[in-house]
Amino acid sequence: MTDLSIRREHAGEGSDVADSGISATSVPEANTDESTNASQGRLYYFLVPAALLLAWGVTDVVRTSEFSFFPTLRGVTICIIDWIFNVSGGKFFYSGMWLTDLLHSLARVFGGLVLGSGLAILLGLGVLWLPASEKLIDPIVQLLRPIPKTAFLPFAILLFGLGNGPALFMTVYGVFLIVYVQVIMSIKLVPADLRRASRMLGASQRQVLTSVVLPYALPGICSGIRIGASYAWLILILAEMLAVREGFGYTLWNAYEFMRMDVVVAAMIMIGIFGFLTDKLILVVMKRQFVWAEEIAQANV
Amino acid sequence: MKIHMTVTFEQVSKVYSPHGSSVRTIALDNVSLTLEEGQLVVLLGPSGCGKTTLLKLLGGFERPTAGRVLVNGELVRQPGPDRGTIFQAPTLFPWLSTLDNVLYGPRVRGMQDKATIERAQEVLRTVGLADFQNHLPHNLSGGMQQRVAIARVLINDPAIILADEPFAALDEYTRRAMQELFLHAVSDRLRTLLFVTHSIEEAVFLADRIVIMTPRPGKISRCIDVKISRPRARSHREFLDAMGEIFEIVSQDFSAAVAEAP
Repeated sequence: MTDLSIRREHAGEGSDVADSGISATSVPEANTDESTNASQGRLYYFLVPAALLLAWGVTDVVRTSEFSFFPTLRGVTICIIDWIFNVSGGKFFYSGMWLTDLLHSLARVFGGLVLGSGLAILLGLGVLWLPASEKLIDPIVQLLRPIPKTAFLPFAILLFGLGNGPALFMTVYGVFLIVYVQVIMSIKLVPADLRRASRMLGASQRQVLTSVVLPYALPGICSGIRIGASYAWLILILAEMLAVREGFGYTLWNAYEFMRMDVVVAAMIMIGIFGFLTDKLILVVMKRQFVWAEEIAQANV
Repeated sequence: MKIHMTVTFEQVSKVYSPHGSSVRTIALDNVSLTLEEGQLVVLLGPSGCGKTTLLKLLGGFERPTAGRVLVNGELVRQPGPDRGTIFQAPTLFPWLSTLDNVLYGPRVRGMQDKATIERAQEVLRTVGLADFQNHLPHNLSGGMQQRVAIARVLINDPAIILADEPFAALDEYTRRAMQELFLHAVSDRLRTLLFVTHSIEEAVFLADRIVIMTPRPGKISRCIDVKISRPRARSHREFLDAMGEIFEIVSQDFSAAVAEAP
């Protein structure tokens, strides 16, 4: 008996030393590596946009008449300042409207994102609950997917009238199609043995869904929501051009009709910045929640 | 001796026919086997002999095509915490810490009081992972992950434990240490154990009884009781003789199987 326990302890010690060695030495090393990489990466991050801005600034001064339609950096900057702070005292349709436009666009994007993703996740989990339901939903989804989502805008306006209705419908519809496909795929990637392990440990069928399938699929679902978010911005701008009287898309289209290309570019820049920030926000949440799926999150950075 | 708990395979057959294919694979052909309480039975054989299928049937993960699998006279219908399974891969929940992985079983059954948490910590001590409670699985080595897999089964205190080549992916030294740890960890009470392996050494080291199986179709070729006293020393004459004896049987079965093959 003593013989056995002594040998076991030795064996245990051997492997533990090797294991703790890994976590004690190589993890801090990886951290320092990462932090230098990160600060270097952050520098690179700003390099190209800064260079482009500089080049644009140069063309303000040096330009040929053929490019006179293209707004100057100075002009666009003045535009943005007036858009935000109303320095002109309400001279233009956009003066001082920036915050209103921003809040309306954000509300539509996030409203569409939450409703569209929520619906996709519910129906996706429904497929697990009732496998036959996939056969009911799948053909419609696969048929609708290749049809340009923007093609539904005229019908949305006829159906919901001008206003928030068609804008919301378009974002919900676009986000749903994208996220639903990703939800189904992520759920199918859950290893069968992981579900078996859960059942064997005493989980009910419903508990397998909530405590194993959903958490395992969540990083994949969030990747879908990321793609959905960028799509929500895209389709929202289009909907805002036609259906509403505030928002970045409305400002962009209205400016074009007045041939104010400087305002068009200002609106484009804002859409770019807030689309980018939406994506970053989702990434930050993902990185915090899915440390275990780090490789997935990193592959997406 | 009065037998309290038995596991019976009654003329069990399992046929796999892949979806949309007419090819049928007979994984098990009319197999009968009884496991007695407190026995550690090792299923030994080459791949394709149906040993894992037998384990899946008892685990309730699959249903037999013909025959019955009974625990205490009751038909096995689905997986349950009374039959803890250790899979070939650790199959831990990757988003849960070591401690939370062990607590998974109690939690899904509505137990997460202080006593349960203390019990989980005690089980982790038994498998030598007391200092790794808060580690996520991907920060543990393969051997340590498999120890968590043992611990999460032990906390449910199952009367039956199934193990499907749990140490096959580990290196020789870790594997031997794990076999000893496994024997120690499951020895706290009377349990019926079914352990699948293709390693003769592992079989002789662990088993009260070795069931040798042959493939195509999966059948039991012979049952051998291992009477070597415990703890077993792998270098002892007795141990090596037992290995030699089983090696002879397995080689005969294998050459017979090769000769019969079309």
